[in-house]
Amino acid sequence: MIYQSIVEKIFHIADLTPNANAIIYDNKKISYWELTSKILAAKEYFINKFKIKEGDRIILSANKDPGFIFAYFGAHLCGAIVVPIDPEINKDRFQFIFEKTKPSVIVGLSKIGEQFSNLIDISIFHNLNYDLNTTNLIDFPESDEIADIIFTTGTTGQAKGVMLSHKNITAAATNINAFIGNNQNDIEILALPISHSFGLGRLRCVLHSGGTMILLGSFANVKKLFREIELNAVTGMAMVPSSWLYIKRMSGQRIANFANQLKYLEIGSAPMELEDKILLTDLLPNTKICMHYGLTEASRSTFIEFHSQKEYINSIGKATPPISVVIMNETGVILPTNSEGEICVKGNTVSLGYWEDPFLTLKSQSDGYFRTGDWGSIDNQGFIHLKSRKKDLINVGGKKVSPVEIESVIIAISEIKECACIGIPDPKGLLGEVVKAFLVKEENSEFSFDYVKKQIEGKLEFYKMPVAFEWIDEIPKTSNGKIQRHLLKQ
Amino acid sequence: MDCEKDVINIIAKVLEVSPELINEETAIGDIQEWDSLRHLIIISELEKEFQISFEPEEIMDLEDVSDIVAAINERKGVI
Repeated sequence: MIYQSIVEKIFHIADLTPNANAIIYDNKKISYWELTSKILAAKEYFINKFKIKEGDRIILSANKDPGFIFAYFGAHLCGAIVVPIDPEINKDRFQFIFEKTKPSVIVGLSKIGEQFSNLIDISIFHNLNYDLNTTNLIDFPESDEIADIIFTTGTTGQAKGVMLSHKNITAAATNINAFIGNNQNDIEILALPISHSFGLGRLRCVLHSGGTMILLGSFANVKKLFREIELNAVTGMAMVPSSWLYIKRMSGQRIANFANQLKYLEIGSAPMELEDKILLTDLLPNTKICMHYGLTEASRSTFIEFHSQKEYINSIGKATPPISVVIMNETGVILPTNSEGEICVKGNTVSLGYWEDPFLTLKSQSDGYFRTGDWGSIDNQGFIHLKSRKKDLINVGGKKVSPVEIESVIIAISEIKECACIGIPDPKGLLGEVVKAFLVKEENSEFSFDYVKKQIEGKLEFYKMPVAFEWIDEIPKTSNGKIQRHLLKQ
Repeated sequence: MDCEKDVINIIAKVLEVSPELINEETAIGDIQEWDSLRHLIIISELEKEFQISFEPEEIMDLEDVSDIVAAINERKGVI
């Protein structure tokens, strides 16, 4: 049977295996039966207290907390659209998202959303209960309804609201689970943030397959991560390449102790160095190591498995049906094998478009394909080779950072005439990239980089703060004023 | 000389939280802000402040503030 939504599938699993563990958090176990009861309670709460109806937006602080999961699926059951956001979001970005989505309720974010009257704490959802015996027919969302709006960083620094339908998120979970081979016996530990597509996607996948998800705050405490893997007989986990660099720095090769336990590992969100791919393959010879390429707009478009597709380990893998990937030129003509062009994706995981931005939605599509903005080619065997990401985004430990956003904060300092930011390899070799700022002083002004740092402190999330600075006489630009960042990288 | 107060202040500064939220039993990752990115910064700030360099094996064994304090004291020859 094909389910129209993840929440519908969860209720189906709860019917079949009510006592199976859905979530483990802080050593507490939540069964599928209890999960559905909490989801229904959250739905009733949203409807009774806030008169939530179909299409209303709910901003949800994506804390790694079962309350988030109850509220997330409870909102979906109301037909509402969830806008999950980073609990550490800055004020300006929050304000932008708030104005753009006009939410009926905000869950969490007590510091930043204090002026809003319909602000509730996420812990409320822990204590709500619903008597499942009173349940009659549950009205599940339709597949074409919008499930989530995920705000991603655009090239201009302005956030874009990617609309994902229930069909999109259900198809993404189905496709990934089929590739990895997930089933109800899997126990996964989630240390990635759930405010980003990857982490939230993993949560949906595990609950869609009837498995168990263990919520762990972050990768910070590797000793605890390993202890939890051992204690709970964890069979899989997901990481971004910088998570692996961190685990390696903190624990050397100790992950190999779980070589006979870990059934799968999913990696994504940023490129991984070849030596790390090979090292992981050596350390975990029996683990299915899957790396995906995708975007919020087109989740998990291609996959590669390191062991079985070793000869193609430096590609981003293949698209598997029903996803189709082609290479197009600027005018939308599909190019032959081995030609370089823009990677374009079509299929049931591709987003409906951008929230309240029909122009950008139209611009991002060509003949039914989503134009990723990334550059690459497809070889004779169907493997896709990513050459570059057309966008200038900086990837700090898996978090996408727009240089324009940082520049706009720096340029507000009156002594600075011009500024341009780029990504440079992290000198410590841990985060992939870090931010470097090139600065042009106003004439006759004298100040230090520390002064600049002080001025921008608190105005940017900490990972967006430049770690390297350089004075420069002039920022290189094209004739129409566009910053030539590639020249600064040389 | 006990460096607990200094350690707590450094951690609080990196995490941008009040030092009162942190005590010797606070474990790495207990506070939402204490993620892997910030933990790396904390390690590097501690190494700078106390002019030491942690070995990978030592880092793996640090689990809470008291472990960090003990590791620094050991390095500095304080029992």
